[in-house]
Order: sequence, then C-alpha cells, then structure tokens
Amino acid sequence: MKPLILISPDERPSSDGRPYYYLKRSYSLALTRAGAVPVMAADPSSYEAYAELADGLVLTDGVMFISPGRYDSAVDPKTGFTPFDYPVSPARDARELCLLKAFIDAKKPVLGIGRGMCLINALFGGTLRASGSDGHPENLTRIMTADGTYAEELWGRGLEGVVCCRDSIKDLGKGLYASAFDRSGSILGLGHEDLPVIGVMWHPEPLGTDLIMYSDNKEPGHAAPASKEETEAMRARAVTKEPDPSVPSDRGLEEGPADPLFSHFARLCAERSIHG
Amino acid sequence: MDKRPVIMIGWSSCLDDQFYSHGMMLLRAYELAVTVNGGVPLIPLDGSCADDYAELADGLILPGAQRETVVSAVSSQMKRVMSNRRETFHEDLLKAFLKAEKPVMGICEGCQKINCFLGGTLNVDLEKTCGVTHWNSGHEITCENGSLIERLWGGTPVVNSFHNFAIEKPGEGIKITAVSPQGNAEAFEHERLPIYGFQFHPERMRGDEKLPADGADGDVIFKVFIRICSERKVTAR
Repeated sequence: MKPLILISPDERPSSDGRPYYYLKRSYSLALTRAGAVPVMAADPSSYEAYAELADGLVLTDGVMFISPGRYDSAVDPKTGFTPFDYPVSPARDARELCLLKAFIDAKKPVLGIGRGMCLINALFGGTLRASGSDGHPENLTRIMTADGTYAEELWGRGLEGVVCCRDSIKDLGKGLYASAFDRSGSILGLGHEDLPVIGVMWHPEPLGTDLIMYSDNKEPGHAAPASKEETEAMRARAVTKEPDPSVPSDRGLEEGPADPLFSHFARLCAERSIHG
Repeated sequence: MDKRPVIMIGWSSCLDDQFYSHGMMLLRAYELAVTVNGGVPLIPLDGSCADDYAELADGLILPGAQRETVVSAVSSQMKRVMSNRRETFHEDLLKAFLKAEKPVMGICEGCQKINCFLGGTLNVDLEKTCGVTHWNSGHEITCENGSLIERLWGGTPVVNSFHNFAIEKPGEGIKITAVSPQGNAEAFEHERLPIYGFQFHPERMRGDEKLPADGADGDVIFKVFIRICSERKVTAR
C-alpha cells in the first residue's frame, strides 16, 4: 500500500494582496516517484487531523528565515549577523511547529528540507545562524556523509547537492545527530537517535528549471505576443477547455527516477502506514 | 478521531520566480471557507494519484484560476504549459471523483471545467455577446424554483463576478439553476450525481472581504456542500 505523505507549503501574498499557499511541483513529484501519495496541508488548525490521516510529513524550504524567538538567537560572532535583521514568517513557523509536534507525538516519520531541517533542529532545542546562502541550482556543494548513519547507507561517502537555505545549523538539538557535513564542517544533514526524523540542507527534489526552456528570453516581463494562428487555436481549445497537445501536460511527469532520500523516507512511512 | 469530512481543493499553476520551475498555488480564501464550514481541507498534488485521492477524500472542490500570477510575468509558451498542466490535472481529478461518485463542486473556472468535462462548451466572447464585463462587478441572479441555490438564497440573490468566459452548451446531465440578467449560466446541478457548479465566487462572499458587501452569504454554499460530503461519508460506512 502506498503511504500518504503530507507536505507543508510556503505561503506568499499574491499581487492583489490575497495570501496563498505555494509549493514547487518538484516536491510532490519526488514523492510520487518514490511510490508515495503526496498531499499538501492547508488549514493551520487541523494539524491533529493531518497527523491522524497521513503516514509522514515533509517540511519544505522557503524564502523566509525562522523567527529568532524560536531558538537561541544570539549574534553570530563569526559572521556578525543578527538574526533579527532578516525577513521572517512567524505564521509559517507556528503552523509548521504545530504540524511537526503532532507528527513527532504520533511517532510518524518527518523529513525536513533546508528551512524544514532548521525548524526540526529548533523544535528539539538546537540553535541556528542566519548565514546560509540563497544559492543557485548550478552551484553544487560537496557533501560528506557521517560514518554509520543512514546518509552513508544512501550515498556512500558523499554526494554533490545544491545547498540554498538562509538559515544554517549552529548547535544540534537534543537527541539529534549530524549525518552530513560540507568541507568547512557545517552540518548539512541530521537524524534522530530514537525517532524517524531526518533532515537535509540540500535540495534532493529534482530542483528543476523546468519552465525556463519555454521562456522567450530567459527573463520575465518580456513575453513575445502570440501569433494570429496561435491565438485562434487557443480560442478554439478554450471553448471545450481541451488540453493543448503541442505543449507538455501534467501527465507522465511521475515516470522519472526516484531520489534515494525520498525512497528511504517513503519506506520509513510505509513501514508504519495505517493505510495497509 | 476527527469526524470532519476531508475536502480536496485543486491547485492552480504558478511560476517559481527564483528557479523558473513549476509551482502549485492555492488561495487561502478557499481553504478558510472549507475550514470555517466544517471540513478538513487537503490539497491533492499529482494527477497520477487521482484514484487514491478519490478514495481517501469525501469531496472535491475545483477552484477558479488565479489569473494574475500565471499571466503577468511569463512568456506565452510558459503560460500554455502551466495552464495545460492545470487543465490535465483537473481532468484526472474529475475522472476519479466522478467514478467514485463523490461530491464535486466547481467554482468559476472549475465550474466551466466540469461543464466541458461532461461534453459542454463555453462562450469565450462573453463581453462581446452580452455587452457587459463580468469582472469585479456585483449583480443579481435569478434562481430556479426548488433548486439548491434557490432553497439556500431565495429567488434573486446578489453575487460577485470575476470571469471572462461563461457556459454556453450545458454538458450531459447538467441543469442550469441560475442565470445572470444577460441570461448567462450562474449555477448548475447535475440530474443524478452530487455535482454543483457556481460561476461566481462564494469563497469571496464571506468573512472580512465580502464581495459585494450586499451580496448573499457564501458560507451557506460551503456549509451545504460539506454537509452533503459528510452525509455520504456516513452512508458509505
């Protein structure tokens, strides 16, 4: 039976100021490719219902820092950064900490990515520093796994990955261990001694610039106008809302290679699944 | 054990402006309307899992498209890929939920999608044929006696309007139950199945930003839909 895995989204304001939840398509595809059924959380107050329904939780990355009040937030002497200088989303922190706590209380698996891993660390009493990078999909970081951890089992001695999170780990929380490092010794992965809780600071989902190939000149705001024939064909399809056969649809995207981390996580969830 | 029905709400496409990757979005207005009226909102993500979603959820809402984030800053080709992905994803969901005979409610573009999925067509020249724009305007609608919407809101409620297209030919089994002053379809029900469509936005006719201010109460629509989902959930057990 396929495990049901809940993904927690980012939240943003739309251009007319109406808030919306946002999730990269690639997060859910990564789970589908690993044999899971992905769903997204929506209501912040339904965390108990979500923890009852789903077999596991994924906390995703995002553009907002974690509120300094959520962890021991002294000024970082190495960088001089004061965490209070950065844009934060207390609402997202609160929503995700409730979810995280509900899944941990139920002893269900949790995977944190980037910001999500930092939040796991904060919940267990660890500290963060606001000195992470914004990153770029082409900048690969060499990641070294820690001996005897699940990370070594999954990737051997190491791997390359895109690290782009604005927060980074300073001290690990209670019960957590480091599963991966970069060359300078910064912690890039974690696990928990007793619970099925794991985290990575890099992006294991197919990060994807999957729409850039359809951009006219790789910059937004410079759309070429559609030709007359194109416009006519689009209107004809609009009458019956028929998909456009000349461009890719949403079908078949799930038929890609599964990432070892998501496969590992889907297995952790399936072993404990209530949907058997 | 939480006894509330699980209500799925489909996503709209948007662009991840940092990496130009495909994003999925859901306006919180939909989630709030479901939560406040007694449902647990849960968002389906991949069309290939549509049958799993239809099995675990008690009902489906196909929302309107959020236009501006999709359209403003991207090329026409990107726009087509993103709208195609939404189109096919919503088809996969509809197919699965209709097969499972679970309740479905369509709002604005979602209402048009259900109609087309059942073989109907759209008027894509609304402004030209009816002479008025249906963008951000409040207006009265006329509801058919004895229909769900008439029983909830009476014969002539005031609704909002955010659409450029409208239903032309109704799809199979679809019965139009409310029309605008120009005669365009504003609501429908299905003859046999628990399928409902609303051309206006009930999720924006409630709470702090009620549009129009003198409009009918949108919460009523969500409440009754969620009750329908809930009753069928009980019957199924």
